[in-house]
Amino acid sequence: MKCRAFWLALAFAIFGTSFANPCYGIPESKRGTLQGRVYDAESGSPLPGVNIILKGTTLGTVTDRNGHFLLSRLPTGTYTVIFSMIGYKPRVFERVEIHAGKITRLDVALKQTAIEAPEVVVTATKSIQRIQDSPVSVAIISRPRLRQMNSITIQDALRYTPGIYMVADQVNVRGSTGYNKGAGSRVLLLLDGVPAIAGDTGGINWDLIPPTEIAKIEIVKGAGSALYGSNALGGVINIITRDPSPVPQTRVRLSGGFFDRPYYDSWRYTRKFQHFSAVDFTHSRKLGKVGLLISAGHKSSTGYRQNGEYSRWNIFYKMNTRPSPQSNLALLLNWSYDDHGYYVKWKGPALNHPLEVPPENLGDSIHSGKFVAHLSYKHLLTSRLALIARTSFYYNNWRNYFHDNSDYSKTGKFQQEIQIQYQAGKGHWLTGGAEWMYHTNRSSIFRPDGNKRGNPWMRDFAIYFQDEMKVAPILKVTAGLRYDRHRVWDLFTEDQWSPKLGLVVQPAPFTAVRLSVGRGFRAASIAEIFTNTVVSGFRVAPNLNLRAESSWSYEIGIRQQLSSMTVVDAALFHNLYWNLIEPKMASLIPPTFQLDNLARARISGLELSFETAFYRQRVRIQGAYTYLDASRLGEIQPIFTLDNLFYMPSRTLPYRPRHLLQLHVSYRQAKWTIGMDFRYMSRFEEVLVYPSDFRVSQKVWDAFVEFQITSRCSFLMRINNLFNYHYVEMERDLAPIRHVIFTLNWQRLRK
Amino acid sequence: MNRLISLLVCLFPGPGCQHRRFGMAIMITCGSLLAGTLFSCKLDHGLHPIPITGIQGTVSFLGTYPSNTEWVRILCFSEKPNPQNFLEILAFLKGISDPLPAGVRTHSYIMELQPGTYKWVAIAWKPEKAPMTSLSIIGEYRDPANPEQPGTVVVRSRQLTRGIDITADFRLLQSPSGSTPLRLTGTQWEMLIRQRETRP
Repeated sequence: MKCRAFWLALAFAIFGTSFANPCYGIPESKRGTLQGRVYDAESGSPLPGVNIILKGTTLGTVTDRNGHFLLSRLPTGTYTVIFSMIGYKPRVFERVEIHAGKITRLDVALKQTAIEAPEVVVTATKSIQRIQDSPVSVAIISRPRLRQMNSITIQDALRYTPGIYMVADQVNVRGSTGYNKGAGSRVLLLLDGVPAIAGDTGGINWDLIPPTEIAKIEIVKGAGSALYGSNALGGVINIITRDPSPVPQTRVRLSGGFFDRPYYDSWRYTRKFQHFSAVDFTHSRKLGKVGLLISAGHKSSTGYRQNGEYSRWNIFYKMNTRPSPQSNLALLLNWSYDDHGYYVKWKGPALNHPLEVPPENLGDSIHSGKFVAHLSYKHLLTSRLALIARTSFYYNNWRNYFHDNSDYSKTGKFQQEIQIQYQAGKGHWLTGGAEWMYHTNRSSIFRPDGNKRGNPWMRDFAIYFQDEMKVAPILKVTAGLRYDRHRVWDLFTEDQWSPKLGLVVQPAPFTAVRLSVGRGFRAASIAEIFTNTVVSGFRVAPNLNLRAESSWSYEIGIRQQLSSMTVVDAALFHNLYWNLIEPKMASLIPPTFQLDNLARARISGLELSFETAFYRQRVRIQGAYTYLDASRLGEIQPIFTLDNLFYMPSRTLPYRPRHLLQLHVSYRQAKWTIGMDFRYMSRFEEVLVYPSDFRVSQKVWDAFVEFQITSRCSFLMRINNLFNYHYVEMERDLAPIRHVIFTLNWQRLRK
Repeated sequence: MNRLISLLVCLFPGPGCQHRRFGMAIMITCGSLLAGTLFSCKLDHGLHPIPITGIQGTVSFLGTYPSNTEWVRILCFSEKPNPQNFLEILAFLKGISDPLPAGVRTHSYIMELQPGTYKWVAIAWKPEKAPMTSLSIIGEYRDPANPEQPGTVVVRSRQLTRGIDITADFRLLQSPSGSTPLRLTGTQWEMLIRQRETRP
C-alpha cells in the first residue's frame, strides 16, 4: 500500500503537471529569446556556470564554457533578470523586455566581491529574493567559507555562524534548542528546500550529506512554521546542494589529519597515533540536455578518545534537465552509512579520565544507514504562474551494538508538495501550496504498552499561503498562514495554525529595516511519544498524550551597507515558547521517566554582525556578537539529575550561554591565504544532567593556511582548537582537542 | 544619522573616509584587544584535572559472576544502617560508585566522596531487569585491625584515602542467609523522595 502510494506520487510529480505545458497555450508568435554573454569585469574572461534567473518565474539557465547563455521560446513580457555566481557580486536587470520573434541581448560583466556571502536567498519566503528584502534574519555559509572551514562534518561550519551554536550534535539558533538528546530538533533542516528530519527521533542526521557537495547553507532565524510546518520552532537551516556543472568537471578531495595530545599528560590514555582521513570523488557533466553529478566518499577516524572511532560511506547523485524551456526536472539521491563508537560520558566523576569511557561502555557502537530521494518538477504555466511539484522519500535505520542493548529502528518517510507562485502585479507575489506526509516506524523501542499492536505511524496534511507585496516604493509586506493537521496513529489529531507577518522598509538605498512576527511549532516525534525501554534500572515510559510545543518569534532588525565591501546587521529578538517537551519522573515505584509538555520559556536578545574587506580586498573580517537572556516561565519543579535525585533548577534555561562571540580574520596575498577563527561562548549557567560539575566558557581559536598550487589544485592546512583549550558542550563529554587537518583539492574543468 | 554612518564607514578605511584618524584609532584598539584575547587564550587551557577527594583500593571478587547481573557498585555510608530500616539507609547513604567491570577477579577503583568519616563501605549487587528497590550486599570493607568488624574510612579534602580493599563474594547470593538484602519498599522510596525534597 505504502509502495503504491509512493509510485503514484512519483508518477504525479513527473507527469501530472505536464498537461499544463505552456507550449500548448502560448502560440509561437508570442515568444521571444534572451541571449548574451557573461564575463569577468576585470579580466574580461568568460565566466562559465553563472546562474541566470528570471525573477518570479521558474525560468533560468547557466552560462556555458564560453560564458554564453540562451533562453529561447520565452513568453513575451517584461522580466527581472538576476545574474549570480559565488565570489561575484550579483547583478539585477529590471524591466528586460522580451518581444515576439525577436532576440533580446544582454552582455553582463560581473565584479568579484570580497563579501563571500551570495546576496540571494531562497529559504525565507520559498522564493528568490535579495537578502536585504528578507523580513527575517538570514545567515549564509557560502561555498568558499565552507572550503576554508575544511569541515569533515557540517556541524563544524555552523559553529562560526552568527547566532548559532552547537551542544554536542544539537543545533541552536539563538538558543532555541538547548540540549534534548534523543528528542526532536527545534530547528528544521531542509535539503534543497525539502524537510530532512529523521522520521523516528525527529532529529537531524548531520552525516546525511557530504560537505563537499554543498553549494551554500542558508539559516533563517526565528519561527518558520508559517511556510515549513513542524520543527521550525526556532529556525530553519536549508542545505543547498551543488548543481551539475555545464562543462565536464572532475573533483577529488583528499583530507587527512591527526589529533594532538591533551594539554595535561595525565589525561593521555593511549600512545597510539590518533588520526582521521577522508576521500571524496566527484564527477559532473552534461549529457545532451541532462546535467549529471555523482559523488562518492569515505571518511574514517580513530577518534581522540575511547569510542570516538567512526567509518562513513556516502554516494550522492544529482540530475537535472529541462524537458522544455518552461520546465525543469531535478532528481537527488543520497545514500550514507555510518558506523561509529558510542560515547556516553567520561570515566569516573572527576576530571581525571576525560578521554576514557566507563569500562562497561568500551566497544559500544551504533550502525546507521540513510537514504534520501528527492524529485522536483518546476513548470511555468504562463509568464506569471509557476507550478512546483516535489516528492521525497527519506529512509533511515539504526541499531545499537551496546554491551547491554541492541535496540533498532527503521523508519520510512514519504512527502509530497505542490506549490504555486503567481505574480499578481508588479512587486506582488502570491505563493500557495499543499503538503502531505506519511511516516511509519518499525523498532524494538518505540512501542506503546498494553494490547496495542502494530507499528506506529504519523500522517500530516498542510496547506499554506503567502502574499508578498510592495505596498510603497520603500515598503514591502509579507503575510502568510499555514494550517497543519497532524495525525498520530489512531491516538489523536492535532490542528496547528501558523501565521506570520513581515515588513521591510528601505528608507535609503543601502538601508533595510525589517520587522517580523511568526509562529512556530514542533509536533512530538515517534520516539518522544512511544519510547518504551529500561535503561540502567530506570524505566522510560511512552506518553500517548504528548502534544506539540509551540513558539512565537518577534524581531526587529536593520541591515546597513556602509560601503561596497562593508555590511553591518543588528537585530533585537523576543521568542516565547509553550509546552516545551521535557523529561519528568512519572512514577517512583518503579522509578519511571517520560516526556511531557512541561515548560514555558522566553528567550530575548540582541544580535550584531558585520562583514568587511579592505586593503584591496586582501583583508577580510567577519564578526558577530549575540546576547541571550533565556528564562523559564511559570512554576519551577524539582527534577531528577544524574548527580542529584531532586535538583531544583534555576530560572535560567539550561544549555543557553549569555554571550556568544564569533570572529573571522583572513589575509590574502597572491596564492596564499592565511586566517584565524575565534569563538567565545560564556559558561552555561544551567545544565541538567550533572549540574554540580565544574564548567568553563568556550574560547576556541582555529587557524588556517591555504595555498593555490595551480589553477586546478589547492592545498589547505587547518589547526582546530589551536591552543588546546579543554571544554565541554555537554557534561562529561570533552570537546575535540587540538587537531590538524590537511586537505588537497584537485579539480579538472574541461573547456 | 549620516554622521554616525560616516564614522562607521571610517572603521573600514577606503575612499570617501573623512575621519581617517578616528578609524585608525578604532582599528588599533580592536587589534590590541584581539592580540590581548589571543594571548590570554594561549595561557588558559580551560578544564583541568581536579585532585580527587575520595577513596582508592581494590575490589576482589569470589565466586561466579551471576549471568543476571545488571551492575555491581560500591556504596558508602556515614554510619552502618539497619538493612531493613529505610530511614537509616536514606540518612546514611553518601556515595554510589560507577558500575564495576563485569566478570573480573579484581578491580582497582577510585571513588569520589565528600570529606568526612564513612563507617560502612559496601559492595551492592543488582539483578538484571529488577527495580532499584532490590539490591543485595555481597561484601564490605573490614577493619584491618579487627577483620570481624566493618572498617571506618576517613576522607580528607583533596586527598585520596588509599588501601580501601574489599572482598565481594557472589557465593553469598546463593545462600539464603549469606548476603545482606538491602530492600526498599514502595513506601520507602516515596519517603526517600520526600526526605530529599525537604533538604535545603
